[in-house]
Amino acid sequence: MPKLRAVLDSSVVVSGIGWRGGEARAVLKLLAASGFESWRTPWITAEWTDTVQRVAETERRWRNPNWTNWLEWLKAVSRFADDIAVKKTVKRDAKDDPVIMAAVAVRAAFIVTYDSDMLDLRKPHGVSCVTPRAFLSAILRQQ
Amino acid sequence: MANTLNISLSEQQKSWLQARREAGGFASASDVVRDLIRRRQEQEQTELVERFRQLEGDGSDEDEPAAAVLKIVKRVKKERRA
Repeated sequence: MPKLRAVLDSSVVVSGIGWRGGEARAVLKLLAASGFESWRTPWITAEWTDTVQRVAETERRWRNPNWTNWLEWLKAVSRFADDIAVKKTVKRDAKDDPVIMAAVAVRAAFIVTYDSDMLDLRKPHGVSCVTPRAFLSAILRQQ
Repeated sequence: MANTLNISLSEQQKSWLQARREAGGFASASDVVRDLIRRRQEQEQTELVERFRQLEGDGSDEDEPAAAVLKIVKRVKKERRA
């Protein structure tokens, strides 16, 4: 059975890198065990970096000084798609977001996110926006 | 679905590929390249699992300040989409 494809929103990346006991870290652990395919584009990669850097610099409860190595690991373990291909795939409209566009272009089943704006969209362009908990449940159901 | 990619090789690389095809009993140069990619992916996967083990202890074991973190993340996203 082919592996599920997912795009990890930066909200999940930040949580997974910064806090080791949460569900976002469990998603990264599942990725390390090849439990699904994570996909990224240059745009998504830049957003991961910007958000993790900002939280590391401004959130006093941040405890991971090793975050750059985490990002390098995440980049290496994620499949890569070009932004150009993404732009050709989906016409922009009010609901379109680079993360959703990327997910559609790489035929991802899920966007894993804590972002309520994305979760409210539920299934834009056929891609399910789910929390880490719902994503982990979906993977368990598939196995 | 197979994808076609044109790759430029030096004479030395081409002859190495041909030798590898002959010695390995591959049907085509494409099979040799696919085999090389598969082996490299397996090697990378092993390395990445090891790297994750080394990183796994990083991060806070306290409860995540989810609302505060999401607020920062949303601010960065807004700036990037502006």
